[in-house]
Amino acid sequence: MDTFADIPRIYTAVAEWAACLVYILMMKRRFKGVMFAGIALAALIIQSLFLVLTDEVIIVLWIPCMIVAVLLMYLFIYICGERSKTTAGFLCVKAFVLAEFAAAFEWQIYRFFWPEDEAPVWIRGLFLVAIYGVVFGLAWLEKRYYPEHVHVRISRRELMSAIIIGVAVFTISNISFISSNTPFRGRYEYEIRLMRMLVDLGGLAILYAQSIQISELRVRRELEAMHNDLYSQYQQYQQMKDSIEMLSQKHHDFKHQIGLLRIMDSDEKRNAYLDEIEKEVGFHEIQNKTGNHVLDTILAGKAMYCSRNNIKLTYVADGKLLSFMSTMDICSIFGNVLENAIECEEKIEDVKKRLIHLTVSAQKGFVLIKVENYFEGQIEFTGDIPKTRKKDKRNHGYGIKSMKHIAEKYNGTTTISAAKKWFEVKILIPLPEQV
Amino acid sequence: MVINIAVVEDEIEYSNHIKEYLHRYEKEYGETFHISTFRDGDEIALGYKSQYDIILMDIQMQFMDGMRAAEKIREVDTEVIIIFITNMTQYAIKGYQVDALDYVLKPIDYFSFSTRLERAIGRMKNRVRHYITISVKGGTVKLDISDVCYIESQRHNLVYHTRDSQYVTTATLKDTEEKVYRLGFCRANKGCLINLEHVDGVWEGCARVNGENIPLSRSRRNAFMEALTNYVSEVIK
Repeated sequence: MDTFADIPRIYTAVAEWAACLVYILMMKRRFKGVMFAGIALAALIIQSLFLVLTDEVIIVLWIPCMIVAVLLMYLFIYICGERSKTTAGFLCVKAFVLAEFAAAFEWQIYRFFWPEDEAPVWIRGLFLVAIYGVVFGLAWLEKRYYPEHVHVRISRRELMSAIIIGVAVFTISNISFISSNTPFRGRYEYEIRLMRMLVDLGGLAILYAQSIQISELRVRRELEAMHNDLYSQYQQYQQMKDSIEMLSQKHHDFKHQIGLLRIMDSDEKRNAYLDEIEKEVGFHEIQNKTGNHVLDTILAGKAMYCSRNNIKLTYVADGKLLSFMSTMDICSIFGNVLENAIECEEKIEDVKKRLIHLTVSAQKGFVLIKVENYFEGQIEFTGDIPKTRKKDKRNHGYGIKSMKHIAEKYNGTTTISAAKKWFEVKILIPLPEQV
Repeated sequence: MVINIAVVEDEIEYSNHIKEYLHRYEKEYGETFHISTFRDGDEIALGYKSQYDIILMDIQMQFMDGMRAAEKIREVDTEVIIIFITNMTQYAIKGYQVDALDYVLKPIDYFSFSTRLERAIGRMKNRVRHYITISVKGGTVKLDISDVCYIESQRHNLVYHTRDSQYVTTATLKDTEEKVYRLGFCRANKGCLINLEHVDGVWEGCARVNGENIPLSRSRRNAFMEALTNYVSEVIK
């Protein structure tokens, strides 16, 4: 293996370290500022020392040393990023292949200009920085176009296939360096190096394609779940609409019966009592007129549920402001936000504290939808979505996600907060007629 | 800080009830109220002179109902917080017509009354005036922060844009941002801080401020919109 000059180990170490850094910077980090800089520096020193010190090991130990080097990379990524083990593993494979490619690519170009490795040290250094800068800079673009795969949890199976790709790439690209007697060995140094670089590039492309596929799968699955949620809110709305119509009919009959009762009974007190009932009935009938039929129906349905469960739901709502939104979207936003609030209130023991207040109002060129509900204890957040205490954890979050998604569709923004015993969801959407 | 509260209620029993709750609130939350009572909407609305911070008002009254009275009051005072106290929810939900986005249901329960009041007082306190003193050519100027529409950096200067004039001072946008961040300002792009109070709309990636369109940079758009959402919901009446 020592028939020709291979890449100095220190350069490989720098490439490995830089590749890890590229992916760590794409992730949500556990550490920031000086702390992070310190850890990164330590990682660079450890990686370099390890590779330089193991430069001269006997061939049998070469593979174990490689494995340790990869493990060091894994540790660096896992410690710094706020991600699961499998995601860290996946990114580690990507970082490793990227590093292999960067090192091979740089070496290839360098040897083209200085075949005898005769460049002065400072030029050598500058050259390294420039080439690595270009390679890792290009890798960094991945964040912009396909950022999802760093944010999702990678499954074991996905990790396994990445590892297999990584190992295959590494084996084929390095086989000529270990043994000279294989069918894949190039005859000359230049060809060997070129072949290694191309294999690494191929590996990089495969892993990149895999990342894209993972991202797209996740996005599709999420959209499906959100669509299901949307549909179920819409179905609920349809059912509510039917039952409320039926109820109105009953109210009408009821009033008719009161009229009959009145004729049959002339007792004054009874009459006064009947007046009272009549007032009640009339009151229910004209309730919930916000100026938007869909909102009326949802509010009527939820209000019924709330009064059965001793939750005080109050609202001030200008439904006319929502006329630019589709029925489905109104269902999803209000259905979800009220469902969340109700879920939270039902857990409060003291029924006097079960309070929900909803407003829909025009604020300058925006419509502001605000739902606040009283809560006790702690509400934990995963990202900006509150954690559920529902049994069905897998489907959790899609309600809020679909709500956010809809707000975004209308160029709006959703914020969620929990402070001073009040949990608040606020949605601000620009009014379309405002130009 | 004394909070001026008006109670407008035609039934003496309820009126006393509300006063009793207000006194209890004062003790529990360490506030000081100055309470005035009225027996009908016309009593408070006629000759109204923005002297209250919060008005607690029944909707159903004999001569002038709460909605009508609130309309009259709003002609004079857009700032006062009006909370209806009613069992007429079908009217209360139309409170948005008079910028009354909150109400308490009768029979009044102290817990819900106090929490609604607490939130109203919180929003009211958010609207306290702040002033900023900046040095301009030949002296200093004291500006009411809510008169400033936006602050723009031009070379080494900062330009404070108010509704009808501009003030130039030397300072960096970064330092100023730290100072006015808590006062409801937010970065829209590299060179501009917008007073969220003056954002009239957002349209095609621009914030409309005092009739001008200020572009929101891609990287700051989300943070800006979130700040705006929080701001708007904090200051509503």
